[in-house]
Amino acid sequence: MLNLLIGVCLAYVIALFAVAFWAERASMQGRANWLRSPMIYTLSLSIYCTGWTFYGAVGYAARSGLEFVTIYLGPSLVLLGWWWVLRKLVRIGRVQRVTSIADLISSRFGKSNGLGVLVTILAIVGTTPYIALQLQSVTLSFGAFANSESLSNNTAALWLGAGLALFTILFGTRNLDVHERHHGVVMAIAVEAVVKLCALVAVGVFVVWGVLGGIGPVLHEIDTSKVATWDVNGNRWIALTFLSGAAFLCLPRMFQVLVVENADEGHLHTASWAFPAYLMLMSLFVIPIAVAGLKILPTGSNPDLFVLSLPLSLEQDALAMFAFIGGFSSATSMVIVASLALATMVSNHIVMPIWIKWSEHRVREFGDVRRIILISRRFAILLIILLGYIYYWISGGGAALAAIGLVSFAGVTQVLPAMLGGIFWRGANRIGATAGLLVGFAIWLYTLFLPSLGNVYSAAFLAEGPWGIWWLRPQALFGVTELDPLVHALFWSMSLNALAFFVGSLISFPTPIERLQGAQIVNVYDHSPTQRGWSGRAAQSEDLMIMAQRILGVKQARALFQAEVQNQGGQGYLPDPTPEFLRTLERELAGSVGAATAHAMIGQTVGGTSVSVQDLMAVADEAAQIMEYSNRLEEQSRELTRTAQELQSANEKLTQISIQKDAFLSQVSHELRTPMTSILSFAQILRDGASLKGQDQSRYASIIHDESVRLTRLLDDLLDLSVLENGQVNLNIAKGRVQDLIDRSIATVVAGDAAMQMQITCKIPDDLHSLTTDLDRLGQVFINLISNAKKYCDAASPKLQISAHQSGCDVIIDFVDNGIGIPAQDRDFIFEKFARVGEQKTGGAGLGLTICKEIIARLGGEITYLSGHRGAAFRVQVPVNFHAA
Amino acid sequence: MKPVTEPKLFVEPRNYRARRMVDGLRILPMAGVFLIAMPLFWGGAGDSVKSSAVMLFLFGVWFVLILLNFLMTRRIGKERDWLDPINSETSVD
Repeated sequence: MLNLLIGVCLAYVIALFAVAFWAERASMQGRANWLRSPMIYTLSLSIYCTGWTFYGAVGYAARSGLEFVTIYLGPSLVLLGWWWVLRKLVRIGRVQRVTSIADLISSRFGKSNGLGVLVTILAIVGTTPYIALQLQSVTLSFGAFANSESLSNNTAALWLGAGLALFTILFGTRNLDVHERHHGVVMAIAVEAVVKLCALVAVGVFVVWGVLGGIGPVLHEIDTSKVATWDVNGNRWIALTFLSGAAFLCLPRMFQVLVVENADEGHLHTASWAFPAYLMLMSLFVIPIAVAGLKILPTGSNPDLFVLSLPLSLEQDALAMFAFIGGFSSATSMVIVASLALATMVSNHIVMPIWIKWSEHRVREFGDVRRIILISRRFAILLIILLGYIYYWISGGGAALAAIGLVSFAGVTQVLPAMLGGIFWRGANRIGATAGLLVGFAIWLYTLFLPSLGNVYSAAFLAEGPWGIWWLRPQALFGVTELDPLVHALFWSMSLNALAFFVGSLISFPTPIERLQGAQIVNVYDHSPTQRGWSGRAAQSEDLMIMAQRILGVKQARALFQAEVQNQGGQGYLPDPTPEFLRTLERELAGSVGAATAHAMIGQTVGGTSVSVQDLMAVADEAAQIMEYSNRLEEQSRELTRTAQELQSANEKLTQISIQKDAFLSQVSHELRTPMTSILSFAQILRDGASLKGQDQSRYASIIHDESVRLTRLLDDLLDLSVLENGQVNLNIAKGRVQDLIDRSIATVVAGDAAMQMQITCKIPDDLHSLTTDLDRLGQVFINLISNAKKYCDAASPKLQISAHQSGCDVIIDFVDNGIGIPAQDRDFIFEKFARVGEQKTGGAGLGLTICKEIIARLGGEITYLSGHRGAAFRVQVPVNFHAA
Repeated sequence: MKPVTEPKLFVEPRNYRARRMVDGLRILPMAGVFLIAMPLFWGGAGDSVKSSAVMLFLFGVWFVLILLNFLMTRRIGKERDWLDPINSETSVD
């Protein structure tokens, strides 16, 4: 029988290996889509149902009736309420590349490795007895078949442990995936989930319909059994439901399958109803089996083995074998996933930080980080299973072990406040989380774990407390005596844990990274892509490449870097170490080695820890430089615009001048032509007309004379201008009063035209300095201005006002008339050569003002047109004393 | 950059239905806790409550909760089809 059993076991195990191997192959060949179906995900969650629940639930039911069902109701409620917590956990796990529950806590609280270590230790302490429990359940079931005659329990447990370690190492540490997903393992535990459900349902169906005779008789049997009455302790009922629900979230192995191995959030939709249904089926036949066992089997038989012993006693060997395989499945899948999850935590939070510290200065020479991680994980798996075995061996597999399941649950549940607080409350911080975990862990050790070991406390200690302090009694803390020990421990550990977490968070201040991570994780639905960044200045892409290759593997690292190069639009193999790239890289690495380690490794390579004041200043500097540069550019562009405008106006002016010149040339030719024509014709008349009267002769001669004078004047003007422009003018410097000069000028103008109607007024202060300059030339300017006013002022009663005043070393003389003035568009070029404004009714050649301007410029002064007056207004400004330039 | 649009005051009937399903999903575990605790308050008048009755009640509750969850989760469908990430958590009715 025993040999058959071992044979079946081996066959089953080989089948599992084959399934796992095949799933790995399929996933490697990219045919893994259906391996990642929601049903596989749901089935993988069934590692919640361990060997302890498979066998123990019936035992539990035989002892205390319906209370066992709380262990299944708690997780059902958690999944039914998936929208609250699981949805967020899964999203965070995906976005932050969380590798374990320790990684989540460490990542949330500022990538603190201390917290990671604390959670890891807590998980190991909480899980080791649980692994022992699985070994016990399998050896017990062996014993039920074989009566232990040829195989000692310890040997069986040892072989079992070794086999499990082998499987886990083979399929759990084959690859180092960035997603930390293990297709082979997940597929194997999904198969095991089906096997254990079928086994239990098969036994249940056999019992209900084969033994007890249908549903009616079953209910009758229940009512007549020793668990007929519903007399559960209300506190325990509520507390156990809570505890199992909380443990479902906090157990490292559950976190592994729920969050880490989750490939698609949509799978949660299916699991939210399918897994509660699975649990319901698992517990549906528990009470009938327990009742049947109590009725049929002899008193004194172990109720924990009813699932096996019932078919055995009824000579249903095949069914018993199936049940045995079911129990075996439950135990093995739990041990595999638990040791895998713990090994990840150990390697990421304990081994890697130590290794990084140890090889701080030798990263480049040292071998493959990837290999280190895998080796450390393999050793961690061995170590954890060995610890479980040692625990089993020392405790002797007695009844004390049976109670350890809930104790273990209560231990790992201490992570709950930090986890829920971390994902829902931005104010939660590292100090609070550490305080809560330590307080909860300590109280759990003191009130539950140590008492559960049996003989740690003396009776007196339990009854009177340490040193007789009554309120420190381990099972009646603060005088609370009315609670069941488990509920008591859970009550105090959870409430004080939560309190310490809360108060610690309130009174301490988080670091910037903690606050950033807090915001990222609590607001994970906002898709905020920013994380505290690295300053890539000092980082060498090559170093990063080397490091990434060690952890991700050469192919993956190359692909990652190549993608980034393309993303940055560069060429070659190495991208620039921009903060964005460093962040991406860190997240990728975190998928393999955990957030804290990835953070530390990048920090080591980059040579700076996250955001320092220097970084911020550098960033600010850079921003300032960019601002300055852009200001300069703007300035330049403004200047260019200005220049372009000037060029354009100059061009317009040139065009206008050219037009004026053309106009003038035709004017000049006309001006020259007209007198020439007169002179020519009258000269001809005089030559040919001998019969002309003396009166006519003299009239014609005077016309010729006048025209010649006009020609001469025109030519004089042109000559004058030419002389002035060439700077060949000789100045005749003399001293004289402005008043005299103006009077003379007016007289000259008036003298030429007796009929002048213009009224000229002078306003010249008596104390005005005398001028030392070329008075004749200045007089010429004044005459020109006055005669211009006389010629062009078109008012009904023309008036010209001449005023003068002193301004520093200059004398300013204004000539303002009351005509319409000069149109604004013409003011720009009235001083240009040949310029004439408007319709010409007088025969000026347009040289007067140009000559004025040239003269005044020679005298060191300036002549301008004054805008803002009604009429034409000219201002002449000349220095009191002429200095030769 | 994604243009930031003003959140609409009302959503389409399909989204409205999906949001109400989410409300239902939120309330489901609370109803579950209440129902599961209910047998604790049964009994009285010296008459002890039968285990079998409690068992039938609990499995009935369990089944109904699973069924409701199944129906509501199915109505939600693919979350990303209708939940705008910008105001996924703001309740727009």
